[in-house]
Parts: sequence; structure tokens; C-alpha cells
Amino acid sequence: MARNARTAKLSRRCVLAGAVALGASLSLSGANAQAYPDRAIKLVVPGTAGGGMDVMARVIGDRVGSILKQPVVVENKPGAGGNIAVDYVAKSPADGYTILIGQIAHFAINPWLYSKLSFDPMKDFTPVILLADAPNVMVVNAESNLKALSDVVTAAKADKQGMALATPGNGTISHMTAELFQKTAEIKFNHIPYKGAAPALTDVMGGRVPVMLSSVPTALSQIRAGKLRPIAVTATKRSPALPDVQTIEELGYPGFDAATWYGFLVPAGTPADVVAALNTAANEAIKADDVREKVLQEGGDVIGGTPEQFAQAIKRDYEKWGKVVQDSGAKLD
Amino acid sequence: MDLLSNLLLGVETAFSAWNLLYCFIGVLLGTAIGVLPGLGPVATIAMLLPLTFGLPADTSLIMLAGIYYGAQYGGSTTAILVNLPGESSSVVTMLDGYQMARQGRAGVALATAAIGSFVAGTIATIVIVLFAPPLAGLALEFGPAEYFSLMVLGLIASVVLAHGSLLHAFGMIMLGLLLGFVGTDVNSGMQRYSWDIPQLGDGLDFAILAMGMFGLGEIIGNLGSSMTRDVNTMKISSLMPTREDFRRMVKPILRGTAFGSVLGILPGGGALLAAFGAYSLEKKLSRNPREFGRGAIEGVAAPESANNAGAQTSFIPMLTLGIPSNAVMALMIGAMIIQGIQPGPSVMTEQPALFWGLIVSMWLGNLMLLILNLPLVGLWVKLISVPYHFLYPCILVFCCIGVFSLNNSTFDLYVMGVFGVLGYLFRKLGAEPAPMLLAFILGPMMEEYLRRALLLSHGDPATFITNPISGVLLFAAATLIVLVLLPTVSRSRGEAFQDEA
Repeated sequence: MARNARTAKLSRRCVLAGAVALGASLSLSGANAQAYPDRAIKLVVPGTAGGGMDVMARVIGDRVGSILKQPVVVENKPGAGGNIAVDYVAKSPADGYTILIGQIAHFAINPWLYSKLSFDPMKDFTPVILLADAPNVMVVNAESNLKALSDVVTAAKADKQGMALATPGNGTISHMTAELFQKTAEIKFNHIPYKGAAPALTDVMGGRVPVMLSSVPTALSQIRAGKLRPIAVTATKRSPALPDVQTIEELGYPGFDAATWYGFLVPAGTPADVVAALNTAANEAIKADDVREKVLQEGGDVIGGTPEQFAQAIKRDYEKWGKVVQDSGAKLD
Repeated sequence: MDLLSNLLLGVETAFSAWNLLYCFIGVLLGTAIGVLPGLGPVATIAMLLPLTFGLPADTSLIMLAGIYYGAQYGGSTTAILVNLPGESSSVVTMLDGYQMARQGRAGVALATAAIGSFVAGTIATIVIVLFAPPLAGLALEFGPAEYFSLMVLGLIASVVLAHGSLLHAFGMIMLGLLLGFVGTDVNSGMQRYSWDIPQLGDGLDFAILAMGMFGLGEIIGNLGSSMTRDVNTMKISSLMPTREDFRRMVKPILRGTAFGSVLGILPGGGALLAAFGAYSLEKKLSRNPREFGRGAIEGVAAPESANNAGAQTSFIPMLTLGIPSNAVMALMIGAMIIQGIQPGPSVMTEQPALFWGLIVSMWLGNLMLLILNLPLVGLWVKLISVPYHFLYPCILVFCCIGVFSLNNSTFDLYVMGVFGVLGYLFRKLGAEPAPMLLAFILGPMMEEYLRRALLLSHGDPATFITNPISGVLLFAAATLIVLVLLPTVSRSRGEAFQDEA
């Protein structure tokens, strides 16, 4: 059954790709090679309006639109850990008018967590550009006696029942980072998953959970207000928003890298010149000072580069997180 | 002193011509969209959010807040007029509001809701001004054990909500709990009852369920019974509340406001618990409890005030801690980030004009709502005398638009259709959907908090009793059970049942 469905989808894709190619060649043969884009572009966000990814999508999408001189319209499709949005774009026409803003979770973690995905993240997409990274940070209550990463490790080793660690949910990048760190530091946490970051923060600030792994923007205001203490950043590079906070790698765990990223992807089969046009526009957009400032505010930094570089990053992280997810035994269906 | 200068700053900000204008536009748009069946505050704000991106930060938040109260109030209007809750807390308003409308007292119900909301909004704003920072601490005091016990209390109180057969109410509560299981389990990540449909992975959406059960169910039911609706033939007896009505609504409004102000601060389900906690309390205190569910004015005044007070105080954790207490506050935080403001405790000190301006505008917005809506009451009431064959297709279309706008998903429309049929069946069986909806909302939260509390205590159930707040709440729940089982109470329940039959 599944095989049949896939073949059917593939053949539909082939037809679509063919149709698009035909259309493209027709328009190219026309008097003016009136190129992509000639109408509004849809940017699909795997999350609710106003959520973290939505903000960045609107900021970057708006700029890409003004560079390409066509409006970029954000469409929010929340649900199923982003899978609904990813699936939707995978099945959209490969003409460059439907773009996905995808995160590491959708391409490197979800494929391993969900055994029955209706799309193939590696085959159904053409990467366009790696927009920016967004590191995570380990935080504790500001009044906690855990002052450094070594304190957390010592306390976790001493706690035979497992020290509680909050994350924004099962299968999130924070959860997987915790799994990776457990293995690296040879400790065992008592994982407390929440429905999103807000209730988790409440319990850490209320002193009920000692440690939390959080995205930087979520924790940043509480860190600045002195309610939370940052312990370490999970990427190999310090966060520009928290320049004084050391990385886990710096603190004695060489090679520890749990960076996260987000970027534009289009359905596989999108013509190369369309991908190139999008890539150029997006590269220009993220270099603009005001756009970059917003990215810095989110705790990360812009990256940019070629579609090939993004494809390599996806492949690398797909393999790396696949191992972590499988070792952790986490499953989401 | 300090407070006075802060308030002055707020007045200065809120009363600037632009902010006044945008506050009004927000309230107006919010009411206009919120009054469409099926569009509650979350959907309305999500839709209108991009409108505010180009505005200055304070203006943008003032406008969004205006949209929020407007939509909230608009939601109550549809709850009263056509029995459609725009959001979870108006389920309670619907119980008596819709009955009042059927008795030709829709105008009175709407006016009561408007007045109750205004009074509650005013008092809650004062509460925010005086106590925001200390109250913020309360939100942090509530951990999983406390929430679980609060929900237990709430669920037991919800049995009181039902009029008619206790067995039916119990059955509907069980069904609601089961429906609440659909989706991904927070703790293990297991998908339950999702039949490999990714759209069910996040569970059923309250708005879809409510619109199906109430909206579609009601329409099918009415079409089945007769082609003329009773409201049509019923004379609209009065638009404005009488002196007697006013006398009866004063205390419920004040008690509802108190309930709402306290519970609104708690992230996660606070405002909803406030609305039906206030309703249950009024029913218990009333000398004629059997009027409840049949158009008691107290049953509109109390939950509407609780609702609005809760909506107001839910700003406290958002503004003072940067923690969103509900989906609307999460959207507001998104709006702040877009404006380049880091939400959190620093907002008060770094953006005093924004902070105090927003608070003053809350009261202003409520005043505008009152001025806007009291004259409109007559118009709304006329709306329900529109003939069937015009009104119902419109409601259907708006329900569909509302449901589709939630997730941009056609799957949700089918789900609504299924629950429409179910809603019709339950009507025929005489089983009330309100307790089911409450259980549907509270059940999953209870489970989540129960398991989290046990995870944190390493499996020791004593945590629910040794935590003082949790212990007191559980004790109150136990007392309530005893009260329900006491002969006098059960007799009055029996009478109510006979009365119904």
C-alpha cells in the first residue's frame, strides 16, 4: 500500500515537474523571458501566528518579497510537530511559489521520531538556503546553588532517582539535546516534558524543576531580569545574545554540538533557476542590518550560503540526530 | 506617589489621539469579527495580528488588547443569541444566556453581559494597577500538584452545572474525558486515538468540537423539529434590564469579578475555571437554583464578569513575567517580539509608557465596548428574528470560515461535521453537551498535571496533600462531594429533574 502510494505520488510529481518545465520553457521562449516570480509567493510556517518561527518568517519573508518585487504571504499551518506544514509543501507544485521555512526538527529529528511520515524529508525537498542558527541554552533558577555546568553534572550524578530536567516537549530539539548530553556526560536526567516553553519556565522560576533546556529567546528576558541563570550554550559557538555564557564544548565536552537552524526549502523538482533566484534574494535579505538585528535578538546569527551548503548541513544533521534519537529510544507514534 | 506618576504616564499614552483611535478600531474590529459565530478571540487576533506590524509598539499592543476584549465580548453575543461559544469560557454564558434569548429576553441578557463585563473590567484593571507585581508571584506558586487539585475541584463543580439527569451529566463528562485523550500524550509522546491521521496528532480543537456540537447540532435539531423557530414567534419582551434585574445582577457580578480576577492570573485554564466556578457558586447560593439553566440572569452576569475579569488579569503574568497564560497572551508576546520588545519582567521598567499605557487603555477599551454595545443590543436582537432560511446558511458559512481559519485545514471541517451529527443525537437523547465540553478541556490538563506532579515527586502521591495549596483545594473538593451527597441537596436535584420531566 505504502509503496503504491509513493509511486503514485512520484508519478504525480513527475507530471507536475514536467508541466512546470514545459511552462518554464514556454515562457522562456516568449518575447520577454519574464522570469520568476510574476505573482505572490506563499511562505508556509509550521507554527501558529505570533510563534517564534512566525516572527522570523515574517521579517525575512517581507524582505525577500521586496527584493523580488512580489509579495511574500505567510501561511500558518501548525500541528503534528510541524509535519502537517512540511507535508503540505512537499505535495505543493514545484514552481517556487510555495516555500517552507523548515527547522532542524522537521528534517533531522521528526523523520526518526515518527515511523509513518507521509513525506520523505530527504527526497521530497530541494534546500534553498540556510537562513540562521538558533542555539539553545541550559538554565537554572537564579537562586539555585547550581552555579556551573560541573555543578549540574555533580548534582545529577548524586541524585539516584534522576535530577529533573524540563524541556518544551517530547521529541523537541531541547529533549534530544538533553539525551545527547546525558550520554556525553554519563548522567541520567528525570525528563519532564511540557507543552511548550511557557509552563516549563514557570516551574523552573517557581523552583519546582532545577534545570531546563530552552531556546535562547524564550529564556533571554528572564535571564536579563535576573530570574534565570544561564549555565551553558548548546552550540559550538557562543550566542551573540549571551556573549559571556560558555558553550558546553568549552566547558570540557569536546565535540558537543546541538546547534539548531532554520532555512527555506521548496518541493523537489523546482527549476534550478528559481532556486537560484530565491537563494540570491534570501542571501541579500538576511544581510540587511535590520533583518540581522532581529535574528540576533532571537539569540542566533544569520548564516546564508548556497543551496548545496544547506543540503550538506541537512544531510549531516539527519545522520547525527538519527543516532541520538535511536539511542534515546524516543518514538512519537 | 510613584503609582500616581505611573498612572499619569499611562493616561498620557492611552489618551493620545492615535492610541485612542486604534483602541477604538481594535474594539470595533474585535466585536465585528468576534460576533461572527465560530470566531473567538484567538482566531480573531491571529487574523488581525499582521495589521499591527506597521504600528508603533504601544499603539500596536493597545489595538491588539482592544481586539481581544472586543472579540471576547462578541463571542458572548453569539453564545447568547445563537448558542455558539466562540471560546471555552462562553460555554457557561450560553447555558442561561441562550435560554433567556429563547424567552424573548435576549436584549436583557446582552445588556447584562455588557454591564457585567464593564464592571469586571474596571475592577480588574484596578487590581492590576495596585497588585500586578505581587500577584505575579501567585502564578509561580502554582505547580503541577496545585493545578491538578484545582482541576479536580473544577470537575466536581461541573457536575453541579448540569440540570436534569445526574446520570446523563456523568456520562457526558466521561465522554468528554475520552475525547480529551485524542492526540499526542505529553509525557510519553504516544499518539492516542489518532488512527495515523496526522491532523489528530495534536488532539481535537475545542472550537471545532463546540461549533459542531452546539452550532451544527442546534441547526440540525431545529430543522428537524419545525420550520418556524420559537424565538421568531416569541415576542421580544424587553431590551433593557428592569430594576429587579439590576438588583439580581449586582452580587453575581461582584462575586464573578472576584473569582475571575484571582483565577485569571493562573496560566492554563484559569479563566475557564473562573467562569464556571462563578456559575456554580451562584447556583449554590441562589434561593431558586432550579432557575439556572432556564434563563437565570445570575447565570449570565456571574460567568460573564468572571470571564472578563480573568481576561484582564491574564495580562499580569504576561506583562510582569513574560509568561503567556493562554493562547491570546502567546500571540501578544509574539507581537511584542516583532516590535523589538523583549517580553518579560523588564517591560515594566524599560517601557513604562507602554506598560501603563496598555493598562489604562484596558479600562478605556472596556468603556468603549459598553458605549458601543449597549446601543447595538437592539440591532443584535433583531438579528435573531431573521428567518431561518437566511440565518442558518449564514451561520453555517461563518462556522466553516471560523473553523478553517484556525489551522487552514479542511480536515477540521469534516471533524466539525461529525460532531454536528453527534450534537444532534445528544439533543435528541436529552444529554447536555456543556459538561462534556468542560471535561474535554479539563481532562487532558488534569492528566498532564497529575503525571507531571508524580514525575517530580518520583511517584509519591503524598505530594498532593503535603503541598499546602493543593491540600486545601483537595479538601474543598471533598467537601463539595459531601455537599452534593447530602440529602437536602440531592432532594432539590431530584425536584429539578421532576420539574424538567
